[in-house]
Amino acid sequence: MITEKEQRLLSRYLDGNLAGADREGVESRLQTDSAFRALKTEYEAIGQQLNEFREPAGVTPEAAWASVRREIRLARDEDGSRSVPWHFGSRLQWAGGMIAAVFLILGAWVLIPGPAQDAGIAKSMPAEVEWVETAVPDAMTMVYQDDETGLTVIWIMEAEEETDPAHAES
Amino acid sequence: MRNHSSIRWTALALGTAGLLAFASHSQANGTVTLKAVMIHASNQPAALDRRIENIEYKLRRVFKFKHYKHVGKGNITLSLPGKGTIALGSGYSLEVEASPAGKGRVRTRVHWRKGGSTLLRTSTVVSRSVPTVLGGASHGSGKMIVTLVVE
Repeated sequence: MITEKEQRLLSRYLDGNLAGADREGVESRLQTDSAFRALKTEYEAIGQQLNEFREPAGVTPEAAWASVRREIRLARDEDGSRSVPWHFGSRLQWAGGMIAAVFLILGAWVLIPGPAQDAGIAKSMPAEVEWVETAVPDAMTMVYQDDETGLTVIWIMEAEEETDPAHAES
Repeated sequence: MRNHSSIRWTALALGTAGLLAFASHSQANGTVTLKAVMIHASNQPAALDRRIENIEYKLRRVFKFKHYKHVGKGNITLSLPGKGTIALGSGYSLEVEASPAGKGRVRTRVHWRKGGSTLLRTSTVVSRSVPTVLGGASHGSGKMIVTLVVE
């Protein structure tokens, strides 16, 4: 009769994980008990079968996928069409493109004057009268720029106005 | 992959060029609104007119008339270049023609009329929001004044 505890001790003995009194006990039992030796033989056979089914570490799915990617990368490097790693190349190109676009837009914003900039410049510039004429008989025109109010006045001076009745003393 | 990269760069360049062209086109071919207010200036007593309070204090500094009365007003929005007519009431009107003058300024050609008669014709280059004053046409015991602002 082999107890469950003795089976576990035998399994640990075969794995090389048993020492001291337990190890000596298992070895003594193996010399005296043919059933125990038969169990040892059975365990060793099972272990051997498991080892036969075990796959090499290098061909796990993860390793296989890494190998495929490595092969692709090596093939691209040999092609010489890229100076940056393949898995970063696309992202770097888009990043470069976006940076270039931002610089172009900023350049356009600086070079093309916007309405707000125009308004700021224009407000400081007085109106410029290019020409003026009147069809009122015996009348003439006068252009007056008032610095205080910023008004540009284009005035019809009619004949009956002996002096300038409209304008303040200026 | 080299072809894909070229396509990306070409698309980016075309997009940027389109953006610049749109911005340039919008700037060059904007719209302006011309706002005209006609005021009768005289020494005859008249109540304060709140409709012209934003310009009356300036007129008082320039002219020596004692009273200013709102007669009429009109607006017109033009795509540059463009022209149109603003009716001011009492038979007065402004025929206006506006075009870009550079640096954000606008060239306005104004024909001030009363009925079928020409009072004044002028060409000015003006800044936005800075009023120009036309005036001097006799009307009753005073003078007619038109303030014209480009917005």
